[in-house]
Amino acid sequence: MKHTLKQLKKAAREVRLSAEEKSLMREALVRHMEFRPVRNIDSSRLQLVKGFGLIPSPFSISHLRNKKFMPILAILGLLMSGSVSFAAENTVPGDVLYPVKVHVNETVRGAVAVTPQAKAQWDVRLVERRLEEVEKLAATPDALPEVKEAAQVNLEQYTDRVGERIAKFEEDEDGEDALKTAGLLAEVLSAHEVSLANLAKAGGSGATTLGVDPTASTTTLVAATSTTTMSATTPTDVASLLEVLSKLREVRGHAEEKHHELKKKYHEEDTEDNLDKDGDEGIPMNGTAGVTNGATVVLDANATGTVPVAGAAAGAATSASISQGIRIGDHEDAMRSQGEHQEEVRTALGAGASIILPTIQKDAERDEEEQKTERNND
Amino acid sequence: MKFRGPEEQFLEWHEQFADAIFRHCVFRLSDREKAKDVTQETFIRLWNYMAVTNQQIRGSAGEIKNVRAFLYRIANNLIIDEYRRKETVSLDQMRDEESFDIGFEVREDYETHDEADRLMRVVGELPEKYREVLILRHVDGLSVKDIARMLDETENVVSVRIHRAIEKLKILTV
Repeated sequence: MKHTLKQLKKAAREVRLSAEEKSLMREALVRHMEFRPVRNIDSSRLQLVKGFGLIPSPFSISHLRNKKFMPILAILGLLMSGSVSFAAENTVPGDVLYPVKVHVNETVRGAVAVTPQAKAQWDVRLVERRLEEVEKLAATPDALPEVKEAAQVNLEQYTDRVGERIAKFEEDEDGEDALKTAGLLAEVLSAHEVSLANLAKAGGSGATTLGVDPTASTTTLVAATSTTTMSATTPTDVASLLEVLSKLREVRGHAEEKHHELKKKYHEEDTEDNLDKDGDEGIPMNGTAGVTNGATVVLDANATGTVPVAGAAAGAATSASISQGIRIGDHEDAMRSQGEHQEEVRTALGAGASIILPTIQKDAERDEEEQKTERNND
Repeated sequence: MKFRGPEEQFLEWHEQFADAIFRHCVFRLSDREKAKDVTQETFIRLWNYMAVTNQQIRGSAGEIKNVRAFLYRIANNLIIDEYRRKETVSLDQMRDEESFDIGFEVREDYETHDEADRLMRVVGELPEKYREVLILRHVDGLSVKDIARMLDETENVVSVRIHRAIEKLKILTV
Protein backbone atom coordinates (compact mmCIF):
# COMPACT_ATOMS: atom_id res chain seq x y z
CA MET A 1 0.00 0.00 0.00
CA LYS A 2 2.29 2.63 -1.29
CA HIS A 3 -0.22 5.33 -0.83
CA THR A 4 -0.56 4.91 2.89
CA LEU A 5 1.85 7.61 3.77
CA LYS A 6 0.42 10.00 1.26
CA GLN A 7 -3.03 9.35 2.54
CA LEU A 8 -1.86 9.84 6.03
CA LYS A 9 -0.42 13.18 5.17
CA LYS A 10 -3.53 14.18 3.32
CA ALA A 11 -5.74 13.21 6.21
CA ALA A 12 -3.45 15.03 8.54
CA ARG A 13 -3.70 18.29 6.63
CA GLU A 14 -7.38 18.39 7.23
CA VAL A 15 -7.16 18.26 10.97
CA ARG A 16 -7.10 21.72 12.41
CA LEU A 17 -8.69 24.00 14.94
CA SER A 18 -11.86 25.75 13.94
CA ALA A 19 -11.71 29.51 13.89
CA GLU A 20 -13.84 29.62 16.98
CA GLU A 21 -11.76 27.11 18.84
CA LYS A 22 -8.68 29.03 17.98
CA SER A 23 -10.00 32.35 19.15
CA LEU A 24 -11.31 30.81 22.35
CA MET A 25 -7.87 29.48 23.03
CA ARG A 26 -6.37 32.82 22.18
CA GLU A 27 -8.63 34.54 24.69
CA ALA A 28 -7.73 32.05 27.36
CA LEU A 29 -4.08 32.69 26.64
CA VAL A 30 -4.54 36.43 26.81
CA ARG A 31 -6.15 36.05 30.20
CA HIS A 32 -3.24 33.99 31.30
CA MET A 33 -0.83 36.62 30.04
CA GLU A 34 -2.59 39.27 32.04
CA PHE A 35 -2.45 37.10 35.07
CA ARG A 36 1.21 36.36 34.69
CA PRO A 37 2.73 39.36 33.00
CA VAL A 38 6.33 39.80 32.09
CA ARG A 39 8.16 40.89 35.18
CA ASN A 40 10.76 43.49 35.95
CA ILE A 41 13.44 42.75 38.42
CA ASP A 42 14.32 46.05 39.82
CA SER A 43 12.04 48.75 38.66
CA SER A 44 11.41 51.35 41.28
CA ARG A 45 8.46 52.95 39.65
CA LEU A 46 6.58 55.40 41.72
CA GLN A 47 9.11 55.47 44.46
CA LEU A 48 10.76 58.74 43.73
CA VAL A 49 10.07 59.88 40.29
CA LYS A 50 12.01 63.07 40.38
CA GLY A 51 10.25 66.07 39.12
CA PHE A 52 6.84 64.62 38.63
CA GLY A 53 5.81 64.59 42.20
CA LEU A 54 4.53 61.11 41.85
CA ILE A 55 4.61 59.64 45.25
CA PRO A 56 3.45 56.31 46.43
CA SER A 57 0.31 56.38 48.39
CA PRO A 58 0.98 56.14 52.11
CA PHE A 59 -1.03 52.98 51.94
CA SER A 60 0.99 51.37 49.23
CA ILE A 61 3.03 48.31 49.94
CA SER A 62 5.39 49.13 47.19
CA HIS A 63 8.32 47.59 48.99
CA LEU A 64 6.72 44.30 48.17
CA ARG A 65 6.60 45.05 44.49
CA ASN A 66 8.54 42.92 42.12
CA LYS A 67 10.66 41.21 44.67
CA LYS A 68 9.43 37.74 44.00
CA PHE A 69 6.32 36.18 42.70
CA MET A 70 4.06 36.20 45.72
CA PRO A 71 2.39 32.91 46.41
CA ILE A 72 -1.27 32.94 45.52
CA LEU A 73 -2.34 32.07 49.04
CA ALA A 74 -0.49 34.99 50.46
CA ILE A 75 -2.21 37.27 48.01
CA LEU A 76 -5.59 35.81 48.82
CA GLY A 77 -4.92 36.21 52.51
CA LEU A 78 -4.01 39.81 51.99
CA LEU A 79 -7.09 40.38 49.92
CA MET A 80 -9.21 39.54 52.90
CA SER A 81 -7.84 42.48 54.77
CA GLY A 82 -9.24 44.91 52.25
CA SER A 83 -6.34 47.29 52.10
CA VAL A 84 -4.84 45.28 49.28
CA SER A 85 -7.61 46.16 46.87
CA PHE A 86 -7.05 49.72 47.81
CA ALA A 87 -3.33 49.53 47.36
CA ALA A 88 -3.74 47.68 44.11
CA GLU A 89 -5.50 50.66 42.62
CA ASN A 90 -2.29 52.41 41.79
CA THR A 91 -0.46 49.53 40.25
CA VAL A 92 0.69 49.24 36.68
CA PRO A 93 1.35 46.20 34.55
CA GLY A 94 4.29 44.29 35.97
CA ASP A 95 3.51 44.97 39.57
CA VAL A 96 2.75 42.14 41.91
CA LEU A 97 -0.66 43.55 42.70
CA TYR A 98 -1.63 44.47 39.20
CA PRO A 99 -3.65 41.29 38.73
CA VAL A 100 -5.66 42.27 41.78
CA LYS A 101 -6.44 45.59 40.22
CA VAL A 102 -7.63 44.10 36.99
CA HIS A 103 -9.23 40.87 38.07
CA VAL A 104 -10.65 41.74 41.45
CA ASN A 105 -11.30 45.44 41.68
CA GLU A 106 -12.33 45.95 38.11
CA THR A 107 -14.36 42.76 37.98
CA VAL A 108 -16.34 43.65 41.05
CA ARG A 109 -16.98 47.18 39.96
CA GLY A 110 -17.77 46.11 36.45
CA ALA A 111 -20.22 43.51 37.64
CA VAL A 112 -22.55 46.18 38.86
CA ALA A 113 -22.97 47.62 35.40
CA VAL A 114 -26.11 45.93 34.22
CA THR A 115 -27.38 47.84 31.24
CA PRO A 116 -25.40 48.01 28.01
CA GLN A 117 -25.14 51.73 28.52
CA ALA A 118 -23.63 51.32 31.96
CA LYS A 119 -21.29 48.69 30.62
CA ALA A 120 -20.20 51.00 27.87
CA GLN A 121 -19.47 53.75 30.33
CA TRP A 122 -17.54 51.39 32.49
CA ASP A 123 -15.53 50.27 29.50
CA VAL A 124 -14.59 53.86 28.80
CA ARG A 125 -13.60 54.22 32.42
CA LEU A 126 -11.42 51.16 31.97
CA VAL A 127 -9.77 52.77 28.99
CA GLU A 128 -9.01 55.65 31.24
CA ARG A 129 -7.43 53.43 33.81
CA ARG A 130 -5.23 51.92 31.14
CA LEU A 131 -4.35 55.43 30.05
CA GLU A 132 -3.31 56.29 33.55
CA GLU A 133 -1.08 53.26 33.62
CA VAL A 134 0.54 54.21 30.37
CA GLU A 135 1.12 57.70 31.70
CA LYS A 136 2.63 56.49 34.93
CA LEU A 137 4.98 54.23 33.10
CA ALA A 138 5.93 56.90 30.63
CA ALA A 139 6.88 59.08 33.54
CA THR A 140 9.17 56.43 34.96
CA PRO A 141 12.59 56.30 33.42
CA ASP A 142 13.53 52.86 34.67
CA ALA A 143 10.49 50.97 33.57
CA LEU A 144 11.39 48.24 31.12
CA PRO A 145 10.24 48.83 27.56
CA GLU A 146 8.34 45.55 27.59
CA VAL A 147 6.22 46.74 30.47
CA LYS A 148 5.52 50.01 28.75
CA GLU A 149 4.61 48.18 25.63
CA ALA A 150 2.37 45.83 27.56
CA ALA A 151 0.58 48.87 28.92
CA GLN A 152 0.16 50.26 25.43
CA VAL A 153 -1.17 46.93 24.22
CA ASN A 154 -3.66 46.89 27.06
CA LEU A 155 -4.74 50.38 26.19
CA GLU A 156 -5.30 49.34 22.63
CA GLN A 157 -7.29 46.31 23.68
CA TYR A 158 -9.58 48.21 25.94
CA THR A 159 -10.05 50.96 23.40
CA ASP A 160 -11.01 48.29 20.91
CA ARG A 161 -13.54 46.97 23.34
CA VAL A 162 -15.18 50.34 23.50
CA GLY A 163 -15.13 50.36 19.73
CA GLU A 164 -16.98 47.08 19.77
CA ARG A 165 -19.60 48.46 22.12
CA ILE A 166 -20.13 51.38 19.84
CA ALA A 167 -20.47 49.03 16.89
CA LYS A 168 -22.98 46.99 18.82
CA PHE A 169 -25.03 50.07 19.57
CA GLU A 170 -24.95 50.96 15.91
CA GLU A 171 -26.05 47.48 14.99
CA ASP A 172 -28.95 47.76 17.34
CA GLU A 173 -29.87 51.09 15.78
CA ASP A 174 -29.17 52.77 19.08
CA GLY A 175 -27.69 55.93 17.67
CA GLU A 176 -27.91 57.90 20.86
CA ASP A 177 -25.82 55.53 22.91
CA ALA A 178 -23.35 54.96 20.12
CA LEU A 179 -22.85 58.67 19.86
CA LYS A 180 -22.65 59.14 23.59
CA THR A 181 -20.09 56.44 24.05
CA ALA A 182 -18.00 57.65 21.16
CA GLY A 183 -18.13 61.13 22.56
CA LEU A 184 -17.12 59.94 26.00
CA LEU A 185 -14.19 58.05 24.61
CA ALA A 186 -12.98 60.94 22.52
CA GLU A 187 -13.17 63.26 25.50
CA VAL A 188 -11.34 60.93 27.80
CA LEU A 189 -8.56 60.50 25.29
CA SER A 190 -8.33 64.21 24.63
CA ALA A 191 -8.23 65.09 28.29
CA HIS A 192 -5.37 62.76 28.93
CA GLU A 193 -3.57 63.93 25.87
CA VAL A 194 -3.80 67.40 27.27
CA SER A 195 -2.46 66.54 30.65
CA LEU A 196 0.33 64.51 29.09
CA ALA A 197 1.18 67.39 26.84
CA ASN A 198 1.27 69.71 29.81
CA LEU A 199 3.57 67.35 31.55
CA ALA A 200 5.94 67.17 28.65
CA LYS A 201 5.89 70.90 28.22
CA ALA A 202 6.25 71.82 31.84
CA GLY A 203 9.10 69.35 32.12
CA GLY A 204 7.75 68.23 35.43
CA SER A 205 7.83 71.16 37.76
CA GLY A 206 6.61 68.87 40.46
CA ALA A 207 3.27 70.57 40.58
CA THR A 208 1.46 68.23 38.30
CA THR A 209 0.11 64.88 39.35
CA LEU A 210 -1.08 62.29 36.95
CA GLY A 211 -4.37 61.11 38.28
CA VAL A 212 -2.70 59.31 41.11
CA ASP A 213 -4.31 58.59 44.45
CA PRO A 214 -5.69 61.93 45.57
CA THR A 215 -5.79 60.89 49.16
CA ALA A 216 -2.05 60.60 49.16
CA SER A 217 -0.95 63.22 51.58
CA THR A 218 1.49 65.81 50.47
CA THR A 219 4.13 64.81 52.92
CA THR A 220 7.68 65.91 53.17
CA LEU A 221 8.38 63.43 50.44
CA VAL A 222 6.77 65.60 47.84
CA ALA A 223 8.35 68.71 49.19
CA ALA A 224 11.69 67.04 49.08
CA THR A 225 11.30 65.90 45.51
CA SER A 226 10.08 69.25 44.35
CA THR A 227 12.97 71.11 45.83
CA THR A 228 15.56 68.64 44.71
CA THR A 229 14.43 68.75 41.15
CA MET A 230 16.60 71.00 39.17
CA SER A 231 16.24 70.39 35.49
CA ALA A 232 13.58 67.95 36.51
CA THR A 233 13.09 65.86 33.43
CA THR A 234 16.03 64.26 31.74
CA PRO A 235 15.86 64.30 27.96
CA THR A 236 14.83 60.66 27.88
CA ASP A 237 11.83 61.25 30.08
CA VAL A 238 10.43 63.85 27.79
CA ALA A 239 11.23 61.70 24.81
CA SER A 240 9.27 58.75 26.10
CA LEU A 241 6.46 61.04 27.09
CA LEU A 242 6.36 62.47 23.60
CA GLU A 243 6.33 58.99 22.18
CA VAL A 244 3.35 58.03 24.27
CA LEU A 245 1.78 61.33 23.42
CA SER A 246 2.02 60.80 19.71
CA LYS A 247 0.57 57.32 19.95
CA LEU A 248 -2.20 58.62 22.11
CA ARG A 249 -2.86 61.31 19.58
CA GLU A 250 -3.30 58.68 16.91
CA VAL A 251 -5.80 56.75 18.99
CA ARG A 252 -7.58 59.93 19.88
CA GLY A 253 -7.72 60.86 16.22
CA HIS A 254 -9.46 57.61 15.36
CA ALA A 255 -11.88 58.00 18.23
CA GLU A 256 -12.77 61.48 17.16
CA GLU A 257 -13.20 60.47 13.57
CA LYS A 258 -15.65 57.86 14.71
CA HIS A 259 -17.40 60.38 16.83
CA HIS A 260 -17.75 62.81 13.96
CA GLU A 261 -19.01 60.08 11.76
CA LEU A 262 -21.66 59.12 14.23
CA LYS A 263 -22.54 62.72 14.83
CA LYS A 264 -23.14 63.21 11.17
CA LYS A 265 -25.25 60.15 11.07
CA TYR A 266 -27.45 60.88 13.99
CA HIS A 267 -27.34 64.61 14.48
CA GLU A 268 -27.20 66.26 11.12
CA GLU A 269 -27.38 69.79 12.41
CA ASP A 270 -24.14 69.66 14.34
CA THR A 271 -21.81 68.65 11.58
CA GLU A 272 -19.95 71.85 10.85
CA ASP A 273 -19.11 72.67 14.43
CA ASN A 274 -16.30 70.37 15.29
CA LEU A 275 -14.69 69.60 12.01
CA ASP A 276 -11.64 71.75 12.48
CA LYS A 277 -11.11 71.40 16.17
CA ASP A 278 -8.41 68.81 15.91
CA GLY A 279 -5.86 71.51 15.43
CA ASP A 280 -2.70 70.06 16.73
CA GLU A 281 -0.19 72.80 16.69
CA GLY A 282 2.67 70.80 18.04
CA ILE A 283 2.29 70.45 21.75
CA PRO A 284 -0.58 72.57 22.96
CA MET A 285 0.26 75.05 25.65
CA ASN A 286 -1.91 74.62 28.66
CA GLY A 287 -4.35 72.88 26.47
CA THR A 288 -5.86 75.87 24.81
CA ALA A 289 -5.13 74.99 21.21
CA GLY A 290 -5.86 71.35 20.75
CA VAL A 291 -8.30 71.06 23.55
CA THR A 292 -11.49 72.61 22.38
CA ASN A 293 -12.78 69.17 21.67
CA GLY A 294 -11.92 67.80 25.02
CA ALA A 295 -12.99 70.87 26.89
CA THR A 296 -15.28 68.90 29.09
CA VAL A 297 -13.39 66.46 31.19
CA VAL A 298 -15.58 63.54 31.83
CA LEU A 299 -14.02 61.03 34.11
CA ASP A 300 -10.53 62.12 34.88
CA ALA A 301 -10.20 63.86 38.17
CA ASN A 302 -6.73 65.14 38.74
CA ALA A 303 -6.45 68.47 40.45
CA THR A 304 -4.61 70.07 37.60
CA GLY A 305 -7.14 68.73 35.18
CA THR A 306 -9.31 71.63 36.02
CA VAL A 307 -6.73 74.20 35.07
CA PRO A 308 -6.57 73.46 31.38
CA VAL A 309 -10.29 73.07 31.27
CA ALA A 310 -10.82 76.49 32.73
CA GLY A 311 -8.23 77.92 30.42
CA ALA A 312 -9.87 76.34 27.43
CA ALA A 313 -13.31 77.34 28.42
CA ALA A 314 -12.23 80.91 28.86
CA GLY A 315 -10.32 81.13 25.64
CA ALA A 316 -12.64 79.08 23.53
CA ALA A 317 -14.06 80.50 20.38
CA THR A 318 -17.78 80.99 20.17
CA SER A 319 -18.19 78.12 17.79
CA ALA A 320 -16.63 75.90 20.38
CA SER A 321 -19.22 76.86 22.90
CA ILE A 322 -21.88 75.36 20.71
CA SER A 323 -20.08 72.07 20.75
CA GLN A 324 -19.49 72.49 24.41
CA GLY A 325 -23.12 73.07 24.99
CA ILE A 326 -23.96 69.85 23.30
CA ARG A 327 -21.15 68.06 24.97
CA ILE A 328 -22.14 69.23 28.37
CA GLY A 329 -25.60 67.97 27.76
CA ASP A 330 -24.26 64.52 27.03
CA HIS A 331 -21.77 64.93 29.75
CA GLU A 332 -24.33 65.61 32.40
CA ASP A 333 -26.28 62.60 31.36
CA ALA A 334 -23.13 60.61 31.63
CA MET A 335 -22.35 62.05 35.02
CA ARG A 336 -25.81 61.49 36.29
CA SER A 337 -25.81 57.85 35.37
CA GLN A 338 -22.35 57.53 36.76
CA GLY A 339 -23.72 58.81 40.03
CA GLU A 340 -26.48 56.27 39.79
CA HIS A 341 -23.93 53.68 39.05
CA GLN A 342 -22.11 54.55 42.22
CA GLU A 343 -25.32 54.37 44.16
CA GLU A 344 -26.05 50.96 42.83
CA VAL A 345 -22.66 49.81 43.84
CA ARG A 346 -23.09 51.03 47.37
CA THR A 347 -26.48 49.48 47.89
CA ALA A 348 -25.66 46.29 46.07
CA LEU A 349 -22.57 45.62 48.02
CA GLY A 350 -24.03 46.56 51.36
CA ALA A 351 -22.29 46.21 54.62
CA GLY A 352 -19.76 43.59 53.83
CA ALA A 353 -18.25 45.68 51.12
CA SER A 354 -15.74 47.60 53.13
CA ILE A 355 -13.12 46.04 50.96
CA ILE A 356 -14.11 47.74 47.78
CA LEU A 357 -15.98 50.76 49.01
CA PRO A 358 -13.02 52.96 49.79
CA THR A 359 -11.87 52.81 46.21
CA ILE A 360 -15.30 53.38 44.81
CA GLN A 361 -15.92 56.21 47.17
CA LYS A 362 -12.76 57.85 46.03
CA ASP A 363 -14.03 57.68 42.48
CA ALA A 364 -17.40 59.00 43.46
CA GLU A 365 -15.85 61.93 45.25
CA ARG A 366 -13.71 62.71 42.28
CA ASP A 367 -16.70 62.57 40.01
CA GLU A 368 -18.72 64.85 42.22
CA GLU A 369 -15.90 67.28 42.39
CA GLU A 370 -15.83 67.32 38.64
CA GLN A 371 -19.50 67.92 38.32
CA LYS A 372 -19.12 70.98 40.47
CA THR A 373 -16.19 72.20 38.46
CA GLU A 374 -18.08 71.67 35.27
CA ARG A 375 -21.04 73.65 36.42
CA ASN A 376 -18.76 76.45 37.48
CA ASN A 377 -17.18 76.51 34.09
CA ASP A 378 -20.39 76.80 32.21
CA MET B 1 -0.02 51.05 16.04
CA LYS B 2 2.17 48.01 16.10
CA PHE B 3 3.76 47.06 19.37
CA ARG B 4 6.36 44.39 19.27
CA GLY B 5 6.42 43.37 22.85
CA PRO B 6 6.63 39.76 23.95
CA GLU B 7 2.84 39.57 24.03
CA GLU B 8 2.58 40.43 20.36
CA GLN B 9 5.26 37.94 19.51
CA PHE B 10 3.64 35.24 21.55
CA LEU B 11 0.25 35.69 19.95
CA GLU B 12 1.82 35.64 16.54
CA TRP B 13 3.45 32.36 17.36
CA HIS B 14 0.14 31.03 18.50
CA GLU B 15 -1.45 32.07 15.25
CA GLN B 16 1.30 30.37 13.38
CA PHE B 17 1.72 27.12 15.26
CA ALA B 18 -1.49 26.32 17.11
CA ASP B 19 -2.90 24.21 14.32
CA ALA B 20 0.26 22.19 13.88
CA ILE B 21 0.58 21.44 17.56
CA PHE B 22 -3.10 20.62 17.75
CA ARG B 23 -2.83 18.25 14.84
CA HIS B 24 0.09 16.51 16.41
CA CYS B 25 -1.82 16.07 19.64
CA VAL B 26 -4.90 14.74 17.91
CA PHE B 27 -2.92 12.03 16.23
CA ARG B 28 -1.05 11.15 19.33
CA LEU B 29 -3.97 11.17 21.71
CA SER B 30 -6.84 10.26 19.38
CA ASP B 31 -8.98 12.67 21.31
CA ARG B 32 -9.84 16.08 20.03
CA GLU B 33 -10.80 17.62 23.33
CA LYS B 34 -7.73 16.43 25.08
CA ALA B 35 -5.69 17.60 22.15
CA LYS B 36 -7.08 21.08 22.61
CA ASP B 37 -6.21 21.06 26.27
CA VAL B 38 -2.69 19.94 25.63
CA THR B 39 -2.25 22.53 22.90
CA GLN B 40 -3.38 25.28 25.19
CA GLU B 41 -1.16 24.06 27.99
CA THR B 42 1.75 23.97 25.59
CA PHE B 43 1.35 27.62 24.77
CA ILE B 44 0.82 28.56 28.37
CA ARG B 45 4.14 27.00 29.19
CA LEU B 46 5.74 28.81 26.34
CA TRP B 47 4.46 32.08 27.74
CA ASN B 48 5.63 31.26 31.22
CA TYR B 49 9.05 30.66 29.84
CA MET B 50 8.99 33.94 28.00
CA ALA B 51 7.73 35.81 31.04
CA VAL B 52 10.51 34.49 33.19
CA THR B 53 13.45 34.71 30.84
CA ASN B 54 12.55 38.24 30.00
CA GLN B 55 13.32 39.03 33.55
CA GLN B 56 16.82 37.84 33.23
CA ILE B 57 17.71 39.19 29.87
CA ARG B 58 17.74 42.90 30.38
CA GLY B 59 16.16 44.84 27.65
CA SER B 60 15.17 42.15 25.21
CA ALA B 61 12.54 39.48 25.27
CA GLY B 62 14.01 36.07 25.95
CA GLU B 63 15.32 34.94 22.62
CA ILE B 64 13.93 31.64 21.60
CA LYS B 65 15.94 30.24 18.78
CA ASN B 66 13.64 27.62 17.41
CA VAL B 67 10.14 28.12 18.62
CA ARG B 68 8.72 25.33 16.58
CA ALA B 69 11.02 22.70 18.00
CA PHE B 70 10.52 24.16 21.44
CA LEU B 71 6.76 23.89 21.14
CA TYR B 72 6.95 20.33 19.94
CA ARG B 73 9.15 19.38 22.79
CA ILE B 74 6.78 20.87 25.32
CA ALA B 75 3.83 19.18 23.66
CA ASN B 76 5.63 15.88 23.53
CA ASN B 77 6.36 15.97 27.21
CA LEU B 78 2.78 16.81 27.99
CA ILE B 79 1.60 13.93 25.83
CA ILE B 80 3.92 11.57 27.62
CA ASP B 81 2.45 12.79 30.89
CA GLU B 82 -0.99 12.04 29.55
CA TYR B 83 0.04 8.51 28.79
CA ARG B 84 1.60 8.01 32.15
CA ARG B 85 -1.69 8.98 33.62
CA LYS B 86 -3.22 5.95 32.02
CA GLU B 87 -0.37 3.99 33.48
CA THR B 88 -1.58 0.62 34.54
CA VAL B 89 -3.58 0.08 31.42
CA SER B 90 -2.38 -2.47 28.94
CA LEU B 91 -1.84 -1.56 25.34
CA ASP B 92 -4.90 -3.44 24.20
CA GLN B 93 -7.13 -1.79 26.70
CA MET B 94 -5.75 1.55 25.67
CA ARG B 95 -6.63 0.86 22.13
CA ASP B 96 -10.19 0.03 22.96
CA GLU B 97 -10.71 2.86 25.38
CA GLU B 98 -9.46 5.69 23.28
CA SER B 99 -12.24 7.55 21.61
CA PHE B 100 -11.66 8.47 18.06
CA ASP B 101 -13.21 11.84 18.03
CA ILE B 102 -11.68 13.36 15.01
CA GLY B 103 -14.27 16.09 15.04
CA PHE B 104 -15.93 17.95 12.27
CA GLU B 105 -12.98 19.54 10.66
CA VAL B 106 -12.49 16.91 8.02
CA ARG B 107 -13.76 18.19 4.73
CA GLU B 108 -16.85 17.05 2.95
CA ASP B 109 -14.86 14.80 0.73
CA TYR B 110 -16.47 11.53 1.63
CA GLU B 111 -13.91 9.33 0.15
CA THR B 112 -11.14 11.04 2.01
CA HIS B 113 -13.32 11.25 5.06
CA ASP B 114 -13.54 7.52 5.38
CA GLU B 115 -9.96 7.10 4.45
CA ALA B 116 -8.89 9.68 6.95
CA ASP B 117 -10.95 8.08 9.66
CA ARG B 118 -9.56 4.73 8.88
CA LEU B 119 -6.03 5.92 8.80
CA MET B 120 -6.33 7.75 12.06
CA ARG B 121 -7.72 4.69 13.67
CA VAL B 122 -4.92 2.63 12.35
CA VAL B 123 -2.35 5.09 13.48
CA GLY B 124 -3.95 4.91 16.86
CA GLU B 125 -3.25 1.22 16.87
CA LEU B 126 0.43 1.62 16.47
CA PRO B 127 2.62 1.21 19.47
CA GLU B 128 3.33 4.54 21.03
CA LYS B 129 7.00 4.60 20.19
CA TYR B 130 6.27 4.07 16.52
CA ARG B 131 3.39 6.45 16.44
CA GLU B 132 5.48 9.16 17.99
CA VAL B 133 8.16 9.19 15.35
CA LEU B 134 5.80 8.51 12.50
CA ILE B 135 3.68 11.53 13.30
CA LEU B 136 6.61 13.78 13.99
CA ARG B 137 8.13 12.88 10.69
CA HIS B 138 5.19 12.51 8.34
CA VAL B 139 2.47 14.60 9.86
CA ASP B 140 4.48 17.39 11.42
CA GLY B 141 7.26 17.27 8.90
CA LEU B 142 10.10 17.55 11.33
CA SER B 143 13.53 16.48 10.20
CA VAL B 144 15.04 13.30 11.52
CA LYS B 145 17.70 15.43 13.10
CA ASP B 146 15.19 17.52 15.03
CA ILE B 147 13.29 14.46 16.10
CA ALA B 148 16.43 12.82 17.33
CA ARG B 149 17.33 15.86 19.35
CA MET B 150 13.88 16.13 20.80
CA LEU B 151 13.66 12.52 21.84
CA ASP B 152 17.24 12.34 22.91
CA GLU B 153 18.07 9.47 20.62
CA THR B 154 20.51 9.01 17.79
CA GLU B 155 19.40 9.78 14.27
CA ASN B 156 20.01 6.19 13.40
CA VAL B 157 17.64 4.90 15.98
CA VAL B 158 15.03 7.38 14.84
CA SER B 159 15.39 6.40 11.19
CA VAL B 160 15.04 2.75 11.94
CA ARG B 161 12.05 3.32 14.12
CA ILE B 162 10.34 5.35 11.45
CA HIS B 163 10.95 2.67 8.92
CA ARG B 164 9.49 0.03 11.17
CA ALA B 165 6.53 2.25 11.92
CA ILE B 166 5.74 2.54 8.24
CA GLU B 167 5.98 -1.17 7.81
CA LYS B 168 3.67 -1.78 10.69
CA LEU B 169 1.27 0.76 9.31
CA LYS B 170 1.16 -0.95 5.96
CA ILE B 171 0.39 -4.24 7.58
CA LEU B 172 -2.39 -2.74 9.60
CA THR B 173 -4.01 -1.02 6.68
CA VAL B 174 -4.26 -4.05 4.51
